[in-house]
Amino acid sequence: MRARTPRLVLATLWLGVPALLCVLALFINLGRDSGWLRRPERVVTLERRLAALEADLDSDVPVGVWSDGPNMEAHFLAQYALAPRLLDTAAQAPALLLAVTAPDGHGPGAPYRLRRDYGGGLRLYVRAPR
Amino acid sequence: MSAAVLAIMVPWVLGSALFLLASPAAWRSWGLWPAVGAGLGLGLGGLLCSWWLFLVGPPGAGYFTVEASITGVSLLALWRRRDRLMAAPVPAPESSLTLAGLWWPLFVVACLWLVLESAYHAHGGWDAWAIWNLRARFLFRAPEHWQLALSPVLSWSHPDYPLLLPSMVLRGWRLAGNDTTAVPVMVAGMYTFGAVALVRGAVGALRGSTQGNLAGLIMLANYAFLKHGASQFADVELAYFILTAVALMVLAQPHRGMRISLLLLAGLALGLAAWTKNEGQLFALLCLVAWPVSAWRHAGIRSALRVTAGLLLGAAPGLLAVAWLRLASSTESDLLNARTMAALWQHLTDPQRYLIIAEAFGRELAGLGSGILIIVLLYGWWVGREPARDRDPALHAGAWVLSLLLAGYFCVYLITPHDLHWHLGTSLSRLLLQAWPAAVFLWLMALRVPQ
Repeated sequence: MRARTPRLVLATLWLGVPALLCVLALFINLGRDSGWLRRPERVVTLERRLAALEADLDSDVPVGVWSDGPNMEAHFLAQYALAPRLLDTAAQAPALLLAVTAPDGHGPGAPYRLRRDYGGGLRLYVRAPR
Repeated sequence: MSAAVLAIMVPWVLGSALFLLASPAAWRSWGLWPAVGAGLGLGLGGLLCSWWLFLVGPPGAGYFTVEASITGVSLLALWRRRDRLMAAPVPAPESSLTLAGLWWPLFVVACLWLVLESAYHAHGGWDAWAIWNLRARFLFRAPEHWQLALSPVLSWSHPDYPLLLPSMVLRGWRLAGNDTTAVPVMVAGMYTFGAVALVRGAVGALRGSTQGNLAGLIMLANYAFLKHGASQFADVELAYFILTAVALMVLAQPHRGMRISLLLLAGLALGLAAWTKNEGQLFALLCLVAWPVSAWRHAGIRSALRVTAGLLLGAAPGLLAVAWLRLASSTESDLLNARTMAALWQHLTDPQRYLIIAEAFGRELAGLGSGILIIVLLYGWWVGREPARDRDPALHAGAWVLSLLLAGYFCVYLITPHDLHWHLGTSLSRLLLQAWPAAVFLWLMALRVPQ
């Protein structure tokens, strides 16, 4: 019994210490990351833009893209909403034009007029009739 | 939602039946076969769905009838061999130090966390938006023109990446009839917790449930792995297939006259890894060399030929799908696009790059899962290695494959045309996570079990 007790204590320590450290590690990380405690505003905004884009692009009209600078987030979002159609970077005077610009960027100008500003540098323009 | 559940359950049953047909002795290892069956079955469903899309067209009633028939035949075969299942050895009674009291509550907490995280980020993390779910949307919304997903217009979304994960999602969406976010969420959850459960189940089956529960706790402690799973990144699926291939080879013991059926399943896992991500193709290649070489060294040429044949045959559907995609897509990998030998040579002979990459590897490894790697290493140093496992060729071969995989990643960073700091910063942590579950499995297999 005497020989057994220290072995049992040692084995408990061998297993118990790393096991408790593992449990602690997960809870510390859960405590640090507050993203799962509430819906992040950024995600809410992205999903709102996605829903609006999908509603506006629900047709077979080719959609061009116009950009005056990199805005990958808006670019990815536009393509995600548009799939399986492709954002056509080479389209000549498309009927719909998605402007992907810096948040305070400018649009493509005539002959296009703004149809909707989704925010974050993403806007939909339509070609004005001649 | 019910379709999403069905999309998961049928392949789960299929995968479990295939594994139990190959290894009936695992019947009483309740932690093992459901974990193998979940990911392997879902992967097989995705692979079948890819081939159906390539050769027949949009997967519909015909596809699901075929899938259900294969599942039914597998179950029937299992029923006919139920005597072998019943003859499976009953696991030895465990000591009082089982750690199950810690494992189960923590597992439930992690599952609840994933549900909340997925509810808040239903479309997943950035790579899921930009690559995986985007590709699945192309396949679902225009299955007749699935090649659109490989268009060079989408060069930023890596059109050269394989299609297993989008195909798994496509399969669920076709069953549901709409592109509900529940499907990618459930696929991600299955692979995240599938990997956790498989490490626990495989270590538990081979080294006792105490060590298995510790393995499960170590997996749950790596928050980065859970987070990447909830983000719906394909790295978690790849990590699962790497683990499955390594675990099946260790379970199968190729150096002691293993059954060809387990080799076939290990090969299937290699093929699925190759069809998940480009890194999986490197892993499959390394395994197809390392395992036969190991079998040759320890059991002779006949064993090596048997291992090669089994792995190749199992991996063939996945590897052929990769070849098919290469032919269908004109997009080159962003890492290997038209570059001169001079540019490559300049990168290879720049000592500064070696230092930067080595430093990044060291930093990422030390911080892996908020330092969980250090806890795992300290635990190993504390309990010591199991002498009987020191010369286990299956463990050695697995360790070699993982080491060479990391060496391969190192070489890719050496030659990358991208800004090195940016490339390391945006990908290295994910690449290390791909090898994490298999590394935990091999490490705990090699250590002594405190009695």
